[in-house]
Amino acid sequence: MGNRIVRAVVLGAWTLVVAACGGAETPPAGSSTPAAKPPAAAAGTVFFVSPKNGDTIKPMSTIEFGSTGATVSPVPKGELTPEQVRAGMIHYHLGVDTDCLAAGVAIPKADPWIHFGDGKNVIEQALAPGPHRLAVQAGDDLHRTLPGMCQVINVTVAP
Amino acid sequence: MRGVVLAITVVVAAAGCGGTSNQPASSSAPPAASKAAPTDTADGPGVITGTITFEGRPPAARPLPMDSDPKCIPEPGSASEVLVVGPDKGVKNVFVYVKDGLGARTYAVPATPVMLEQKGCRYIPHVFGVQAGQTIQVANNDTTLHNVHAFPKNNREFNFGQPANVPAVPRVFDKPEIGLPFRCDVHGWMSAFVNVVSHPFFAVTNDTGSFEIKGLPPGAYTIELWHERLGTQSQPVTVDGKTPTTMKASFKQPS
Repeated sequence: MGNRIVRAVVLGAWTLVVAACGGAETPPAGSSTPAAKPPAAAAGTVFFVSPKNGDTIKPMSTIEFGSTGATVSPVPKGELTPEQVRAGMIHYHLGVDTDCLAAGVAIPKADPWIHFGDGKNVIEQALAPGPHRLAVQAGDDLHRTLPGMCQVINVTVAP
Repeated sequence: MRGVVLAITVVVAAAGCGGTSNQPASSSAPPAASKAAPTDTADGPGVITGTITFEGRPPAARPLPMDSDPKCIPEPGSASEVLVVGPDKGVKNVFVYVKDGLGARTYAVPATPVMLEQKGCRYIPHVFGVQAGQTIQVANNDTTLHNVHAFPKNNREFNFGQPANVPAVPRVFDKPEIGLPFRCDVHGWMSAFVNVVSHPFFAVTNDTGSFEIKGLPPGAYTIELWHERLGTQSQPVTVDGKTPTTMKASFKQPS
């Protein structure tokens, strides 16, 4: 009986996590330059741990990301070739007031994307009061987007 | 079964609450007044002036690679500030401070904040100093998104995103630390260094490599020079309080 209870608890928790994470949105056509060699397909997801879609948040709020099916890792230093990209390794990117980029493009090192090349998953984010759209998108060692590994949420910043 | 669920609940609650048997350390400690109140003021008669120069062929100014963000409009003459050497070989952005010699003197933390501005997709100033506990107000005066990521060794790390048109964000470092870097993870060329000291006797060299530190009490001091690329060096100086003490130093190109 004890094993059944534990299994039930784990299954329930997993169901909650999946439900909370939501499915990755279908990305619109990106405006970035396509990478020369698209990255391999990934089976994982990325999501917002907090805030959640529809939340009202403070003008300075903590944003936290999570992932499944991939290993979050700092980007190796130096210039990398496509052959040196580590399979299954990702890092996060936060897009502020934007949508997901299409799979296989390089995430720009520019507004509106903050890169988390150090492998971390938390940031404090200042936002003006009003509605905002936040995107978390995974990138490989060359900052290339991966199929399905993006989530967008809508939040409202309280005055 | 009810017992198992109860046990799980208790364990989870205890883990989430971090245990209940220990009081927070601060609850039994006396109020913050136990920290010694400042007893000294920076109005002594001593002055140290000096110039820091560069030995060797000065590097050419290197433009900043701002092409990736069309919202980054370089200001006229903006270039990398990693190593800036003037026409007379004066080195800009050397942080000069009293490293030793003040003894047990303590100084009040200035109420006026230090401003760190993001403008033209650069941090302004590139190198600056604050007293431990003094507020740094970080402002984004660009039209683009920045994030401000501090990488301290002795202080608490922070990382915040700051779009255009939001108020300046205050941050404080509590412990002395030299050469504490700030970086922007949106624009990889952006960097700045804050130097946190426990007193007000510091300066940053200007375009000609010159600096001045005022208000010192007479005494013997160790002055340290710090530069992000050229490293550190120290010099002993004596301040008599009657005439300014002049100091000269030079850095060589690192091999």
